[in-house]
Amino acid sequence: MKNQLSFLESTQVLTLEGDFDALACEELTPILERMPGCAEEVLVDMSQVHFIDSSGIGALVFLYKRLLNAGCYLHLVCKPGQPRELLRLLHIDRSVPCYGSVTDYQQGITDGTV
Amino acid sequence: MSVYPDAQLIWQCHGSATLQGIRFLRQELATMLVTLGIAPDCQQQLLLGISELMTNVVRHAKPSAHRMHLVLCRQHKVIWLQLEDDGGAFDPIRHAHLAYKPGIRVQAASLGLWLGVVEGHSSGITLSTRGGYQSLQLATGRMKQRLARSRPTMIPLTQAE
Repeated sequence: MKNQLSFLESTQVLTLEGDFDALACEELTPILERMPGCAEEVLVDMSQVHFIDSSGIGALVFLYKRLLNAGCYLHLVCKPGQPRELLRLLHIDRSVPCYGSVTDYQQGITDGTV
Repeated sequence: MSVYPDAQLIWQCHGSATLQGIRFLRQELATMLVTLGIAPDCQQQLLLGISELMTNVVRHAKPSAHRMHLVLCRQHKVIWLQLEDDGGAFDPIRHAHLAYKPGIRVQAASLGLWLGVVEGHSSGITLSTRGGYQSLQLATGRMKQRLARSRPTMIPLTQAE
């Protein structure tokens, strides 16, 4: 899975591309364990992720709890598709705000129930 | 090879019982499901289900599995997806205890979800052992109906838990 770290003002952005499965989690674990760094918020951009399984969900929950303990917040960018549907089914979008695009995040337009 | 003698083989693919092998087999299966014209929501259910099953095989089979084998076959109007591996069986007592641990069950119920093991021909999901291989088959049509009724779900557990 391709990943890229960047900053959007005070938000740390982790952009992911590919399948978010157990193999991807092994690659991402060192990155997730270094978060949040100095950022107040973390945005995981999954707009180029077209498949996620329970391993990927577990990694997001791990990051969510880690950020919460550090007083930071997690946000997700997730387009309609299998990942967005699974986040909805598991009610994760009730705890973690989901946006249709990075622009929507900047404008505060969620597409979830938060 | 299918366990159903009158079933017609459509496709089969071998892969290593590794995380890389899971991704390879899933992506090959995805291509085939598109070719077969399976409905998109059913494709998603099959790909997620088979990905979870293969991950369980790679992580929990004792002795460890080395190879996994996916088979698609057609029996009348039903398409079966079959996963075989050469690993040992999971510890049924340990995993049954985890699956039915009261805390997890209550947590699932609090979310309005259902947790359990779906098994048997009538459900469209079949587990069996044959020639030393574990075998699991999913049927597209019946499974979709069963999944819609039972609302199966997963409980994500973090490493800390």
